[in-house]
Amino acid sequence: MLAVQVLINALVLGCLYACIAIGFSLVWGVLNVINLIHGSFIVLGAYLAWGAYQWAHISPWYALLFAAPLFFGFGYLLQRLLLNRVISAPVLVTLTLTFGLDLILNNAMIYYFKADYRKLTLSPPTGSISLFDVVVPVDRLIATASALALTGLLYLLLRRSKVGRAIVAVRLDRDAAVLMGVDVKSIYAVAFGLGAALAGCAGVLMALIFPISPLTSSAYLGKAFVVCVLGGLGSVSGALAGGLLLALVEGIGSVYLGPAHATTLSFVLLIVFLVARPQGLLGRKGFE
Amino acid sequence: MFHPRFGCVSASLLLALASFAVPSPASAEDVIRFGAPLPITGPLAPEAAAQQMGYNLWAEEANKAGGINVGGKKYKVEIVYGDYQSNTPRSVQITEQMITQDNVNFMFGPFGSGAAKAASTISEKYKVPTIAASASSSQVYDQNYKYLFGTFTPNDTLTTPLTGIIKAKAPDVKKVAILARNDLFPLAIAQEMEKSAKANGFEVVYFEKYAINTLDHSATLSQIKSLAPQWIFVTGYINDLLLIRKQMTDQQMKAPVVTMIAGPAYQTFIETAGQSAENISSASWWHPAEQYDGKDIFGKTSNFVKLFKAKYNSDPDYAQASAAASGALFQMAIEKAGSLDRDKVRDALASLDVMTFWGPVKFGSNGQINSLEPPVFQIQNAKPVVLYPDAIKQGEFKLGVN
Amino acid sequence: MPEMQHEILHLSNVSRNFGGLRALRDVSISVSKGEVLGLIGPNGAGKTTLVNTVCGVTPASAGVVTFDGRDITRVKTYQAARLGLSRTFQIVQPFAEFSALDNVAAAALFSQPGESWKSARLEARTHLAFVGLEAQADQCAATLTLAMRKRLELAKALAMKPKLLFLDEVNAGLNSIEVERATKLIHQLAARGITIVMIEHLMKVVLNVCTRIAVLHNGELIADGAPRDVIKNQAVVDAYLGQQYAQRNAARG
Repeated sequence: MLAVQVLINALVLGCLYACIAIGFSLVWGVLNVINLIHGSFIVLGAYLAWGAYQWAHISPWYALLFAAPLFFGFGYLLQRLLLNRVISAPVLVTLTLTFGLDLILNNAMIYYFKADYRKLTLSPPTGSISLFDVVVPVDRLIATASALALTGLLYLLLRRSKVGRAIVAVRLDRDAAVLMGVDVKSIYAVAFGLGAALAGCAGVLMALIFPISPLTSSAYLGKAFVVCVLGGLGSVSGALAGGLLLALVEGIGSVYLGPAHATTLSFVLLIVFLVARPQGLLGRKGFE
Repeated sequence: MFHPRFGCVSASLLLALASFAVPSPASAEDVIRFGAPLPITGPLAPEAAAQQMGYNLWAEEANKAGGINVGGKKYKVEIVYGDYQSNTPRSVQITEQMITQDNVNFMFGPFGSGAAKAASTISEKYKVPTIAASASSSQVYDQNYKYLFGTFTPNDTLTTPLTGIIKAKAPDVKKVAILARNDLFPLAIAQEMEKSAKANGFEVVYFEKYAINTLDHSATLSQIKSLAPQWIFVTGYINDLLLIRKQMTDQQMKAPVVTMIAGPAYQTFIETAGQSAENISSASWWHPAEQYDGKDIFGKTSNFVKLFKAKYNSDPDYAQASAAASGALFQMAIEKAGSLDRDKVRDALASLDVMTFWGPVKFGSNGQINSLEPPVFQIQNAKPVVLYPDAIKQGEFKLGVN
Repeated sequence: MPEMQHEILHLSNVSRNFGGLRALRDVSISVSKGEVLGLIGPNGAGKTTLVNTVCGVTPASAGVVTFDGRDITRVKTYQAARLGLSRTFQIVQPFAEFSALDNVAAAALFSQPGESWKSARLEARTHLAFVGLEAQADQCAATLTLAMRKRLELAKALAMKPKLLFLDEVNAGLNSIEVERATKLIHQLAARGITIVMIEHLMKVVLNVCTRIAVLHNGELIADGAPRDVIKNQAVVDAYLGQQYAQRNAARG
């Protein structure tokens, strides 16, 4: 039954990884910006959830409701006022800019929150459920369900709404989209805002499961990056595929090679993909 | 992956702040400066907080009595702190900075075996006597350094009595699973545990290391669960152990014996883990129930506990006590040498053979203390209860961790 | 002055420079509503540049562009699209991963305020039917033949409900049957009242469809008038048509 347990663990974790990565993937795929602030957005979202629970007894599910618009606004403004100025510059310029912004944001968080690990412990604790010898903790299950709901919402948005279709069009062919009447500057800001909102919400969900500290931001960013390369950029299905693959590889690697080497295995896989299939599992074919 | 960037901006900023935070004394010659690099921020922050409490208590007590007596003249104690953000290479940089720029007279080692070993190269180069208050692995002391001393006895002094107790009190335990943090001390003590377990007829069904900063242990724990060991032995620092304990509960893992080093001794661990801390066993180098009558500034162990409680409103744990002991030992050595000359103080430390509140202190030729008898304890009813040695035994071993 | 009422596009002394290269030199031209204007000239004459300038892809370096009574000299591309200026491209590039239907629906959606994706898709079907691609509606655009892609391009341009449509070499790469079919479509478009400006090399098509011809050479407008007159213009013959064509034409009378 170990195999089944490992599989279930991987499924649950994979959806969480997808949630971490989807905002990053969207921004990379649409704006061609590798947003190095992404990890810090997630951590900030986690602090928001923690603070709301700690001081106002607001449950994390409600925190999601105001985290989304807050982070959207923050991301939208950031893109509109700052990042837009370098949008047509070479990739290295935007990389440096987001790197610098992340330094500021991350160190500000270390200064105000201190780097100590905080934990959002729900009271009463939610426990685990067990079915046929397979155990799943309830908090992860709920977080996974929420993560899937979020990605589902994004999928619907991209598929059915005017703004969503414009985002997809810009991702597919920016110039063609412009000629059809899409205000690309505005769409960039919306897409970045969406990416930030998704990161913030992912952070709220992560707060339930993992410890919260500014020092974890690079871990989240690293995961997001690998998920994007494995699954393909700019699509919900890509993020899900990449997330599941990563979680599966880590889980299996942990069992057969030991936990110390599980991460190594996932990075070897990253390199293999970069060389053999750089567009990822669902690459450009995973459009909405 | 992106850690180096914390360097430039924040480290120098913090260092600048730290040097401003320490008040300049009226006359520079009346002060002895002790450098204390600590992981004030980062995953090891709780450990740093414990050390600081110990150092500060000692400094306060020493200064209350007028200071350290150096050949008839009294010198005040000043501790210079520096934050290396739980990043070992940074601890080495800060150690060098303290010695070459901040004009410290003596050094306390950074936290943990890994960092202590790394930084010791610097203090040895500059011939600065250093006491490591939290370094137990013998690998720390294997470089033939003359200026490095440590207040923790080697790891096997913890694992041997522990194995002995389990063998005696839990005869149904046959299989052991060992999970270690891939860091100097946690790995070293796990390896000692493996040796000790095998030597005592236990079957080690699992031995793996997890990477530093791992957040998700679910696959590893699932695997351990499937092997159904009766004894689960986990090493790491307090944040790792809390995380692993939570994820064990998530997977509904139960075992007759669960041992965790190093964390259960801390009040923070017991409070955060709550009910899940019940019956977790551990070992450490000191316990407030000890009844030593020392020649140091604190004297009796009970006196140290009393002073600690008065200042901090809680019982001291071994980490806090070790830090205070390191300070007290420096004081004894300086007073014995009658001078601030580094070589003389070093020799005085090396020749110490004295009783203290921390226990009997005698350093081996490699600088590591070899005179302690570390206690084994178990958390019962949200309190650490000493099981060994008999002299301070408070209760009996209890089976079953749910 | 009565022509002014029917004037939909007016370029007034428009120039466009790319560094030292003067791609358009002081071009002044009017397009009346309902006209089919043929824009001809040798390669590099500035025909595509003119279209780009009007559509806001490359803004004019000097001069004024007026569309439907509005000054659109400084307008952005997406704004031009929303105002009713639509164009096709020489090198056809649909959204490769979208179906033909979704391609056309996208064009409808982005250029009209108040559209929804659902209504855009419904509309798209009618446009596809007009260009004869209803059977390929759900087919991936990347798998369409060149001729089909050109018709798709036209359907997309139509979906934007243009007041003025720029056609850029719609017949490039097509065989004679396909060209005939395309020409028929253009006739039908003109019949709907859409003003058309077409860049075209096939004189047969130009003479068949256009109500007026303008000729560009080295960025300058060298002729502008009724088709029969323009092709006899000596400057035009020298610059573009060539003696052989002129002789053949003269023979036909």
